[in-house]
Amino acid sequence: MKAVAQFLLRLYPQAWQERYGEEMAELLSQVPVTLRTLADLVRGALDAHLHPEALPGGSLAGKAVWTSGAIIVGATALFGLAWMPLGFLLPAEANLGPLQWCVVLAFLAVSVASVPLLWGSTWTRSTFLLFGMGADALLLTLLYIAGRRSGPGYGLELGLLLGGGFLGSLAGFLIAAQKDETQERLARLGLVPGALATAAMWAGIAMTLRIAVPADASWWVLVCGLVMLSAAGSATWALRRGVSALLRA
Amino acid sequence: MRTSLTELGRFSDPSLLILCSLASGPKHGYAMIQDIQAFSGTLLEPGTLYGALARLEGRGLIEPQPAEERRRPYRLTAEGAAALKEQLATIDQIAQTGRQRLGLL
Repeated sequence: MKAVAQFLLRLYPQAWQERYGEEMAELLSQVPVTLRTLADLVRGALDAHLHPEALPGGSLAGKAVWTSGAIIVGATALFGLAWMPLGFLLPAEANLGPLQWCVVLAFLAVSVASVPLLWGSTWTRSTFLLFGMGADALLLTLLYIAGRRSGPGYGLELGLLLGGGFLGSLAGFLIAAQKDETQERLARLGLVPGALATAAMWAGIAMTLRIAVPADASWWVLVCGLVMLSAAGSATWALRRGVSALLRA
Repeated sequence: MRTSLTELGRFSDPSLLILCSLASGPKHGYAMIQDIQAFSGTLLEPGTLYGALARLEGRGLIEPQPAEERRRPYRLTAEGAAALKEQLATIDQIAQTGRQRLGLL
């Protein structure tokens, strides 16, 4: 048990290990280690990664801003992937039009909202650019394939939806690559689409759940709703964290 | 601006216990855990202890002393003592109100 506890210390961020690793290792050699201790260490390591500012001299800016942006992109992709099967799962008479527009808006707004987060530190900007574009390209490909397989008509709508989401993200990342004196003002403006993004995501979920109310709807619809809920929650949290880091930087 | 322990979220209770423990003199992690268990009955796990210590140190409420082999004692700062007094005054007020309303006073 003590060996496992010592191993779990490696889950902490490098800076944390350098500052507290030796003390914690010494402490773990003295106290009785239980399953509760192990769970507490895992939770502590996660907390240390999520809150780098907690470390004395640590800052939210930099890595934390980058990870916030990455979480937003990931959550957006998850949101889209959870939305995708709804066309097959919902009753044929369900009107997906408003929901689709909601998702389009969420894609576009989240993409734009993630742009200000790129200014946390210059060395991570190019990495984020590659990551964001890669994630978007993957999402577009997956959803396009799904659209093609879903039959004529519906695929076109999916294509438009995903094209909009992809182009929105692409435009956002290209804007982010232009570094000039207006960046700070743009970063502040990014807060507005950020608010729109989260609102659109939550509206999409509300509509999904409303459509899913019919008794003959598959329970998979609820699963999709829950995934979308988690994605929107993550994006909301990451947006707040990233904005907080930007304002403190 | 004075730091309030309530800003520390889920670490506010462990932080209060740590400040109380350090009020009687500098201690390292293991001594703090033993002292806190003795006076409050609460067993702080290492992950929670160091999560709280980092936040308290970052806010200047405690400060590290020179390491003794692999152990590092911490001591309460003046700001830490002030934050502790403020928090204890609040707790006193709550306790007094509770006792009055229960008819214990």
